[in-house]
Amino acid sequence: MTLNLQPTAGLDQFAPEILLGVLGLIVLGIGALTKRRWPLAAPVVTLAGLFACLPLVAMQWRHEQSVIFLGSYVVDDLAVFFKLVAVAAGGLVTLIAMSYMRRVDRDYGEFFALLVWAVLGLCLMAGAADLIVILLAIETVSLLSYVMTGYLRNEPRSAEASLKYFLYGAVASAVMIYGMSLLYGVAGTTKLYGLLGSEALPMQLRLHPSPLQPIAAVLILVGLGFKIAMVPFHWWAPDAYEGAPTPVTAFLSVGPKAAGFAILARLFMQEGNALYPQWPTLVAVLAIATMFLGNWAAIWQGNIKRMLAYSSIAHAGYMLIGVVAWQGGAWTVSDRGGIASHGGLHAVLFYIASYLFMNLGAFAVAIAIERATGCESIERYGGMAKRNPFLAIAMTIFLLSLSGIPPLAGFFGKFYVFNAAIRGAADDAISLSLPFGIHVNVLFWLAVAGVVNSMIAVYYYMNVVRLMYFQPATGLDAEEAEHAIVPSVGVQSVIIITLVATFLLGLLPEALVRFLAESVFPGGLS
Amino acid sequence: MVLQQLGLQHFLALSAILFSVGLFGVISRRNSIAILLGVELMLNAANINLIAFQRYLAPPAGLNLVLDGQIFALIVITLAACEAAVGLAIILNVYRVLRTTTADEVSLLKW
Repeated sequence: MTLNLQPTAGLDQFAPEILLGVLGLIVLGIGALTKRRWPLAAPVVTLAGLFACLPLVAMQWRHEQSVIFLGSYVVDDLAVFFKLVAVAAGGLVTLIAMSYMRRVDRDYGEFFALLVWAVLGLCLMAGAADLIVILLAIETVSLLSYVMTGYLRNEPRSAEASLKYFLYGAVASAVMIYGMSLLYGVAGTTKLYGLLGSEALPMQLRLHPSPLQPIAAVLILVGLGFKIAMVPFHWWAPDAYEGAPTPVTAFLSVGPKAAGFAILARLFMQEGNALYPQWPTLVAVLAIATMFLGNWAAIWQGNIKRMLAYSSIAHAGYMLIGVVAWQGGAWTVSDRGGIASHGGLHAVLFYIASYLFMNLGAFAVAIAIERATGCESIERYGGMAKRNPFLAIAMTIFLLSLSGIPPLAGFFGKFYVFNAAIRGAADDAISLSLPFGIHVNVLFWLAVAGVVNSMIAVYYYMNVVRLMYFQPATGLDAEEAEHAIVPSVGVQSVIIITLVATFLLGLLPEALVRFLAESVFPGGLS
Repeated sequence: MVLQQLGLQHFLALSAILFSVGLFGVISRRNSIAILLGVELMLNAANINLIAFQRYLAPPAGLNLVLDGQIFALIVITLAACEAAVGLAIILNVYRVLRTTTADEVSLLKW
């Protein structure tokens, strides 16, 4: 770790964020000036800017941790990973939104400015190392999400979704801010990494054991649980996902969720963090509830966006398994080139990468079909295999990947997460002693719950596949049923990119595994 | 004189009460604007905490971070203003479209 007490030192390492901030302003200006004359100007500039941002972020992957801006912002491999996810999600969503937003709103340039700034907020969440910066980054993402959810101003469902999202979000962040104020009192500083120490020192918490610590930890978990849609703070998700414009739904289901895990990793998954030693047990219980509720509710949904919303809640549950099992250690590359992989944090990162592609792919297909049928009902997927075989096969692959069937990306995501839990269970890493001498091996039962839930999930994912292949189209006249569905160029390219990535991560997971194993993550993961 | 007898715990108790009042308002009120007011109370409870901790638990000398709590509180105040601005815009839009701001009556989206 390098440390410089010049306030402006490290400005060069802040280049991607500066680029994103300026890009948002440029896109806003272009959107206002060009209006309807060149409707493609704003999204194309957005795409170019995000694309330019990728190498800037990738260059920061240097296996070292540097804390800049007087200890309030950190640039390390963990941050780089989450920034890559954020920028990739932003780019793919821009491609999806290009034609969608043009149809619903003629002056849509400002939408892309909001999207770029939301990506900026996600990047700030990835690198925040100070309670104040964490708070500002989360609020940046939240406020922009509320506005984007209600972007279809005249649509009652969109307006209602933004209201509900806002009210839940405001309360959750108020609770989190209260928790942060207590944490500040306990730690005596807002910095996550001590300024004076030569090595990363997770908040000098060990110095001040206090009864306030568990309260602060739980209150902060409420705010983060809201971001990642963890039960019981998930109530906003189905409503917001259903009412929001579908590209925004796609963005919300990936971006803020991933960034929430980044902050979870920084605040909680730290060696020697005495913030609240029992937090893994608490999160384990919530993870089991999250998986069961998400999958159970998804079975009964008739709206594709609502089904994907509940499925994304369930996926947050799977990721939380890896969070609970984080103590398994880091993934390492051995001398002979083999990779030892049993750490929960790395498993979560792999899961997030695979989830990014398969989920955005599923949403891209859903948007193509929604545009053609004008309706989000799952029943309208009947006969899709005939109306557009490509969309049907793509959707089938994404859903298979989401349900964790090899050799697709989702399988390895689940495999590594469950693997981390089972390894931890073998050591009985987290155990819970109940009255009457009952001893619970938390990680073991967590893995069992994950596997059971994967099986439940197959039911509703495959229901869509069944409709597409074995049911005739309903609610259409003969002419309409024959009518082919042609997705827009942007949506098509997203489907192809995500298909390739889903296959690549499934067939060659070693590439990403090696990338993660070679990365160095803070917090004494060894 | 009175101020000298006040300890940190008094401020923490005050903020806990304020937080609970705000949370109660959020849960019991049905009007969106009243819920927003409850949220503001919760945020101000956090501010009282921050300022009180700043005053009573100044970090060890040499760390040179003595203003953390004050700055945090200022930023929370600013955030509350931003949140109110965005929130009122959303509520206004909901009123324009649905002719109500009562959270119960806004129920197109359900299970």
